[in-house]
Amino acid sequence: MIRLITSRIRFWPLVLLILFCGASPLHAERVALLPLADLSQGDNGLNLSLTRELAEALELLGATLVPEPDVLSFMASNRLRGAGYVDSFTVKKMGRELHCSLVLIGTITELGGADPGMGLTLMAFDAESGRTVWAKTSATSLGEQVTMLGVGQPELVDDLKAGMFDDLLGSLRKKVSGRILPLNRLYQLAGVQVSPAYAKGGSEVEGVVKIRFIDSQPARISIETEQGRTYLYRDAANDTYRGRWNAPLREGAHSVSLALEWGRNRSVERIENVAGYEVINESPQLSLEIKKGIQTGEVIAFRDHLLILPRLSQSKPMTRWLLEIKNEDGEVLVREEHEGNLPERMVWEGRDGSQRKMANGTYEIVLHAWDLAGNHSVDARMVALQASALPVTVATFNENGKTFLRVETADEKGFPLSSWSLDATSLQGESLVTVEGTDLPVMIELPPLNGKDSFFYNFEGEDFLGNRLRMAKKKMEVSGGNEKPAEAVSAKSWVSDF
Amino acid sequence: MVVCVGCSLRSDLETRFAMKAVPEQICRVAVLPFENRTSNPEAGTMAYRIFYSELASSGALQLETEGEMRFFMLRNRLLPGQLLNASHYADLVERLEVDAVITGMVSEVGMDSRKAGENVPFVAMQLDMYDVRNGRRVLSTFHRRWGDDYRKAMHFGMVNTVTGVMSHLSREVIDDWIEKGVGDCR
Repeated sequence: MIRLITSRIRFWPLVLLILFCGASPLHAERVALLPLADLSQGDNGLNLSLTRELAEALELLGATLVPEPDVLSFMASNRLRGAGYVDSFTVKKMGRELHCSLVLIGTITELGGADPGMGLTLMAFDAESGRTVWAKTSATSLGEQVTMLGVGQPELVDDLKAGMFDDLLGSLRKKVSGRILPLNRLYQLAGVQVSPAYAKGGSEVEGVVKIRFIDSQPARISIETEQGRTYLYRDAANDTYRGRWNAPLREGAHSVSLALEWGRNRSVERIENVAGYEVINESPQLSLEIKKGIQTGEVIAFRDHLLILPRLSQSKPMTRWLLEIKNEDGEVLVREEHEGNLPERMVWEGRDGSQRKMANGTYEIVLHAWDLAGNHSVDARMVALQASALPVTVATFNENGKTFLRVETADEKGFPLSSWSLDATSLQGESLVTVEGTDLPVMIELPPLNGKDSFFYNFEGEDFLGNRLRMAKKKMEVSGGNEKPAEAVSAKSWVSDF
Repeated sequence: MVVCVGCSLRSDLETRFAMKAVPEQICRVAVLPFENRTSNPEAGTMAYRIFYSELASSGALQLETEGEMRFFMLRNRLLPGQLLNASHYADLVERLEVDAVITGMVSEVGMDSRKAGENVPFVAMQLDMYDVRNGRRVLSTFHRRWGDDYRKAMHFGMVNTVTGVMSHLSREVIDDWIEKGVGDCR
């Protein structure tokens, strides 16, 4: 089992932008928009923030507004408290003094509520005659905007404003002179998404454009890239335009532009650099660094845990990665597969996927990674797990009338003890021999035993990883030749230092 | 199967015309601030502005501005709902040159939460029109609506805002008036 330690890197492949377009006419007649009365704040409430949003929407329609400070100054000097106090004389006066041809007043009749909603009534007065030329009320709530499967459903009252302004101002435009609200090619580019944001050279890339039009729609919409022009088709279900093209072979960042072809003569209006994507052909060049182990030849040995540190030659976002740990037979014992970026580091405590401690032996750690363009990279390291010291055998034998003690490693696979000590005592407690060493096997000559055929010995050893072996007060029978070796005992592994 | 609840277009719309009324002779009207008999302090202004906007939007009649009517009320020290007398009518004829005044009274406004766990807005209004040239009532209308009166199927068509109900209700009243001769100005 692997513990992952991840960084907080996030990657956003979606490019979102809000772009409003529409040219202002050269000689547009001015509109005076009075602060909206807000009945949700009481009878004398005003809502300046919503007034400003409405002003922005009007300007997008091509209207030229009397600056807000001028309107407020007029209201103050004429003691005009709000929409309810506008009479035809005041409208005419406003027309003269503010040089406008239309006066727009409105009332927010509702804002919020149990089913959050909004109600707005607007009225337009002709500044020359002082008469009402247009009026409309619009109201909606979040509950009224329930869509099929909840797609594009507004969640906040703020989300209702755009639709309400479209409804009201669309009606106003039909009623008032083109000199006040000129007919423009108006659109709102809500977002452009190119996916994948990282692609292999020559692979297919898709562009999705979300754009809204107020009046007429262009004859054709296309995305322009280095490769040429891709015409987009309308995806009515998602209210978007889509198209596909092949990424260029050249590595690097590539921007895309949007082209709108208007009218019969197909005059092209270009919106430059609306989104981009990156071509990556090289694999991520992954390498593995292993820490908390000791390099011995080709392998890294450890007894408790390893730190696995994935390294990339360049910091790039990944789509997924896979870590496998295999035994010498190639059998996969640990498999971790995840989407997203590689973790900063991983810890392996020598356990398999079921959290069981794995046997001492040699294992291969293999890490695969795929970048967002689908390029694959892999690196592997051999590691050796030795969680306990190798067992030893202790035996006596006679040669030329002398008695020897032979100490050797019982198992050839693994790392032998790197230091050891042995002391032997007679059954009465007299010291017979004390020896220390670094290598095994070893033969130790014992002093004459004076007819006694047994003695005690203590053995302690430690391998280079810190695993210890201890055999205390073992009784050894001295035999004449083919003696039975003492049973090999391996010490239980020590408690981790970590 | 979709069950259509409240699809029957039940309507409490009732307009009564005076015997001698000639609505075709009314071209220019003034709408007086509405009387509010509900517990919602803004209901009168709200209903007034919405009705006024719907009447202006219909194009059936020429309208005097709200500001002008406020000055008229102030000048004559009148409160919404107060009955006009002969001098008031004279003032309206001479100064504002209107043919008729419309008075309104909001009797019910609110959200009804008893309907299947939904909050359904409801509005009831009384509207009267007086010929200012002789002080006689031309017509009288009472109308009441709930938001779910407009429901088509499931939640579709349901009106969830008081503004929406007032707007629908006002339009229905004005359409009824137009159907009966109002706005056919000669």
